[in-house]
Amino acid sequence: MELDYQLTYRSGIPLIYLRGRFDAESASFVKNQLLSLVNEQQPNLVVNMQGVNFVDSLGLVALVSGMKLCRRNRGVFRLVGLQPTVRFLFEMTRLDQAFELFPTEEAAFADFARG
Amino acid sequence: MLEQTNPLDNSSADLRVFPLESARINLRVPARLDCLPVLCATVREFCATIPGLLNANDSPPNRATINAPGTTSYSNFVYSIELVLQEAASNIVRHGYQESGKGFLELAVSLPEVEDLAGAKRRAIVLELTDNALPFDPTAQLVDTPDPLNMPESGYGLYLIRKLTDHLEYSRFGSLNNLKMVKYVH
Repeated sequence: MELDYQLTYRSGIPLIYLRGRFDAESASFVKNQLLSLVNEQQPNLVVNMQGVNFVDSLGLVALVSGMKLCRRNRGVFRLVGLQPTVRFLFEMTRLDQAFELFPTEEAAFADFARG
Repeated sequence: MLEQTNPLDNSSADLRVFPLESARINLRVPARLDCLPVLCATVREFCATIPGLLNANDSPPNRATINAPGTTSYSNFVYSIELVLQEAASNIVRHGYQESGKGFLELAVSLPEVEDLAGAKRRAIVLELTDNALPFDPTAQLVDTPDPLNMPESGYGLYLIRKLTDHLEYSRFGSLNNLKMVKYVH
């Protein structure tokens, strides 16, 4: 697997750092991790994608599954720091309109910190 | 008469003397998901090591062109090529071979001049994947444009292959599948 996965917490919210290649080989691992972190008590999730240089359709699907579960639990799912080519993929699939995308962690956590 | 140069010599940045027709890579890997990054890296290198490949040197002036490495259009072009290859190969490994770990994937990359639907000559990157997995014709499938409100959890792969290529061709010879994916360089 050419993807590095790290979990930490910020303001009590799971913050995942992904680095490398987020593709068919790593997607099911990440999807299972995302789904295991979300529940009624903890419905929010932030994924920092700054280090991800390649995402394929199964990587996208893992993120979509995470976002849907957050929304079902009335939480939010946020992505931080998409590289330009990865953003291009989101635009191709129109998922840039579905996800909450933030340039920095600070921006993604701003209203969590206030809330 | 064009002057010929050694295709392995990257020192020339002039496409007029570079024999693009001779640029070709063939690679055969085991049909496993962990081998797909090797295929993608090969295509990325193929794009990067051919001098001036994506520049305007042999392009008619009225066509949009891909710019030099480092620009957004170049990065998106190369990403598109990698993505199309990744999606097609991943489908073959997961569905065709059902992740058995057996079988092979053979990739051929070339840069021929092709005719588009209007009959105009275009330079193109052609990716050909050959395998002996179960038959699967991605050109025969109905593909919807993803709806961001609905957010489907499947179907992006075939959509991307269709969206990011200019021409797709599938054929089956005996026990072999052959998928040809064409993307115009300009």
